[in-house]
Amino acid sequence: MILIQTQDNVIIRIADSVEYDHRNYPYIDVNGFRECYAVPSHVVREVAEVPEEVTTEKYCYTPEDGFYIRPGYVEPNGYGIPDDLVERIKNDAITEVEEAVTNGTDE
Amino acid sequence: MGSAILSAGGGGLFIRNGSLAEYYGQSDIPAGCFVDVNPAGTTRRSVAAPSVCKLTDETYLHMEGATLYVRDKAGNEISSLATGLTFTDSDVGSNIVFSHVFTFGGNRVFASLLGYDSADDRAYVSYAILTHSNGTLTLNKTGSTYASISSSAPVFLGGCSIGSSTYVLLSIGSSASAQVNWLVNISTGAATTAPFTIKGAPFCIDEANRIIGTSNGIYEVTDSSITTLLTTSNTYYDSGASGFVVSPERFLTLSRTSSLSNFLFNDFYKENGTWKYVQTTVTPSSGTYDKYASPWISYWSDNEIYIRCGTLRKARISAHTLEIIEVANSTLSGWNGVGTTVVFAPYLFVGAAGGGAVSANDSGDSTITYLMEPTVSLRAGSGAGGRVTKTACKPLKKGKVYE
Repeated sequence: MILIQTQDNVIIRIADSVEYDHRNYPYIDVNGFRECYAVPSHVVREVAEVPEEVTTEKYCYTPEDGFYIRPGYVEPNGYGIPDDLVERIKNDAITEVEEAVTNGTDE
Repeated sequence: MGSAILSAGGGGLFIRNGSLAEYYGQSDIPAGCFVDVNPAGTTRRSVAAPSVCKLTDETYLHMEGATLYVRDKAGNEISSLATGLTFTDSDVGSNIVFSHVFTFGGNRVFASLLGYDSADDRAYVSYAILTHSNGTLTLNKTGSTYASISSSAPVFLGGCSIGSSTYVLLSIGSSASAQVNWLVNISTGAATTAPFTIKGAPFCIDEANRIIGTSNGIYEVTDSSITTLLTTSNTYYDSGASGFVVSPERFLTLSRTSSLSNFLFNDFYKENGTWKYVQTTVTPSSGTYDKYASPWISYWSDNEIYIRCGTLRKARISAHTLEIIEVANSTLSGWNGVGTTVVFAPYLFVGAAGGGAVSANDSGDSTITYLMEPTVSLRAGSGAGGRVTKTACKPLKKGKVYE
């Protein structure tokens, strides 16, 4: 497998293979459209296998350290809103449930 | 403090003789006023965040909702055109979250609206292709497209012409670092998914529309290939970002990061034929709202810039590194998205999302309220959801005004 990485080892593309154009830039053919990556701002590395959990942007790779999560990487919460707001919404919901339970008990 | 010196369109920030005053509204704004973002009784999401772009050396475009305004250097309206843009999916309803406008190909204009339908979790875009001549706009084509986004908060990342102006590139972002790129055929008005991914808010760097810059990298596009020339260490591209092209060999960007705890400023420049960049982390001064706000950046002169990352800041670039000179003391709720600016010194016009709780259905929780006095020392202006405490300026065409 081929990894295309930034100079600080972040994986930005995973491919089965690459070819090289007249500038000696690696490229991937995607349905007839070329995705090229300039060098030396990008690095191409070949690895025997890419673990299933490895995804672009999130993981880095070096021959010495193997695959590792990018330092400082923060997993998006999936709601598209800030974490602290998610927490606030959760807490509000919990409070509402607790109040409902309390009111129900009182009755 | 002077009175009514400004008259311009909504979503504006104005700089006059070194003083700053940001507000959302219209009509004359006496310095020192605070303006409620929301028209009474509406949610922020019913009012698309405005967008601006330079039209000619004398005029700029301001898009608010589905209406386009041509304005002069001082913000006076020259003409307007109701594009009639709307959404074919009625479920989108009032969930119009952004408008976005840019020029290309000499006399062409691309204007678009972004909406979100929570029922099917799709982001919808309606757009119009226009031409402009002598301050008048003519509608040529309209179209629409949509994408499933798995997100509650789609954002406009922006758009630009690419290549020979056959296509316009249009990008939206969503959560989980996903991005959708469309190509809109100018002749037919039809949109297709782009065969590539440009990460971040795209804008043209060169006159040939081949070099596309974003806060995440630099791309060279032809009809059959895309070359990533440079990838920055910022890979969060589903959120707000703004760029400003200083020259064909230099542009600046400001964007949010995935941690939402800071912003990244990038100074991209070409040196000996090679693109390079220097990145500066900008940390919001305080407050949760800082993290939400739509960033924007505008080059003023001689490496002096104005940015908004939560609060408004005046900054200087030294050795490609950002140095904050002054920070507005304000609490600003905002929304992530592309922030656009136009400079006609002594004015700086901004179209950027502002106000509104991030939660989709919250209402009345909005604020863009801060200003600077002519001395450039900042005067606090803050408030939320019509709870701004100072009052007394003239009523605006929109919103409420407080002194």
